[in-house]
Amino acid sequence: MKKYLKIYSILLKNAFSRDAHYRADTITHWITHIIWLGMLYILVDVLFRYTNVIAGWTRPEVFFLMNIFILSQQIFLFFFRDNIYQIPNIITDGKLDSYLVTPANTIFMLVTKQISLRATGRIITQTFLLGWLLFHYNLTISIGNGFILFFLIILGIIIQLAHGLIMNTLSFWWLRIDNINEAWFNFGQTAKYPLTVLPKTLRVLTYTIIPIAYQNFIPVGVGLGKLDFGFIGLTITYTIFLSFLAGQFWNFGLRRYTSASS
Amino acid sequence: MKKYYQLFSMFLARYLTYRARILIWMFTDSSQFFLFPFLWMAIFAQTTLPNGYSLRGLVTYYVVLAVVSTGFISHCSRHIRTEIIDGMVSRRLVVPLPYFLVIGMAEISYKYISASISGLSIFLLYIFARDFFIFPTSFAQWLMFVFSLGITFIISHLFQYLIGLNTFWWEDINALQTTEEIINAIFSGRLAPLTFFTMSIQQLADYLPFKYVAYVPAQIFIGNIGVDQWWPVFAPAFVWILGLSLLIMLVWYRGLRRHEGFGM
Repeated sequence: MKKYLKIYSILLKNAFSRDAHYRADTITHWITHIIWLGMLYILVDVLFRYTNVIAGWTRPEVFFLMNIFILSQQIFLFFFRDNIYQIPNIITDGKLDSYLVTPANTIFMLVTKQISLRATGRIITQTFLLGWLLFHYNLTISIGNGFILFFLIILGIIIQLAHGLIMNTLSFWWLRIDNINEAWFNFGQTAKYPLTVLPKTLRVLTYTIIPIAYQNFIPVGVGLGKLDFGFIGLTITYTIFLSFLAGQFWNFGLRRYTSASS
Repeated sequence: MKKYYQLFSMFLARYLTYRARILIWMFTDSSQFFLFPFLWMAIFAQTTLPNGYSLRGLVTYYVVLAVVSTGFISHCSRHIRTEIIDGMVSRRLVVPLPYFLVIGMAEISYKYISASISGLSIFLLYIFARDFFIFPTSFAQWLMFVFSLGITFIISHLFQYLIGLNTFWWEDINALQTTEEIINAIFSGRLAPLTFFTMSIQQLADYLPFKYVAYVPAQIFIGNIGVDQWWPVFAPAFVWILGLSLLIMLVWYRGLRRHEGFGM
């Protein structure tokens, strides 16, 4: 454990020195983020021009749901996203060799190598925005439910990581599928909206094969008291199951890997 | 003409080598529309639809958007960015083919595959699920729809080309791409039919080219734009095509002056 903490602190220092070189990039992405938030506001405005409630969710609740989604995405970006996105190229180009010979867990090294500090500004923006939403719309979440919400968001991020690893492990079979991450990113945007609009069969899929509900729908649903506490058990069980599956699948895929450079 | 056909074949062969990639891109382009029909159905379960729309029409609208997005929207900016950064553009300059047409043929060969699959999807829906969707009722309407797909491709291609050329100034055009995508999402009608938005957004959308890459083809398909409206619908599109082409020429020549080719 001590060894991994040391490795992570070194990676964090690297991240600081790297991001110091890309300050302009960080600011432009932050501005883009603000524009994106504006677009979401316009969209919600359009949706609620015709109704006050969408499948049991009011306007403030949908806003809250969307903003938790963005927060969850930004935390995932901060810790893991860039690393997960690089896996197909690492496998295809034979760069995995250098990870395999490292005296540390390969998956740990793969998914933590790059910390995206540029997401910090967006995480802070989102946190303030969420605070403002709660205050402005008078949304009440008890302290206990607030902790549960936070805990479920963390589990949701672990599920995203495990799912991302499973998808990218497919690179051992199909070469050059780096765009699978963009496909998932695009489809994952579905989670911004209340999933209660989906028919029951499709909703079950979002809890299982395409687990987008864990990013924000279940945390916010439980936090706001719209879903029962049974979903906490479901999330914990699914996190353990998917993490185990991701590890096993990676080891299975690794057997197909042929070194290209060493 | 033969050299362009060879270029087309060469790019086609390259794309077909990584077939899984094409299928994933198609999923990427179409999956963003998956939830919207359900969302609107939930909304309009409690209230009446705006004039000119039925639930069947609304579902068809998003299906057409998915087809248009998959088969007819260009994504060449990424290709251009890679070529400029890797210095490939320097090699292209000494080849007796205009760079614009090389990139155009690369995109056309890719769209040849994705548009074929999209066309097949529409055909299968027409054969097996005709009752669930709205289809054009006359040959003239089909013709106008196909014509609008051509306009969709050209306008999206010119826009993407222009964004790609910005790599001459900024290496990272991600922020520019994202900003364009956001503006495009609102004013093209990809999120919702433009008539669902406030009047000010509708008026602004009328002055921008984005509606030709989603809203116009979908509206023609479901019959909300009549076949007698060719001129008022497409005349502004031609003005945009001309304007964007001139801008591209200007940016291209200015960009080349900044470009430094190494290792030739």
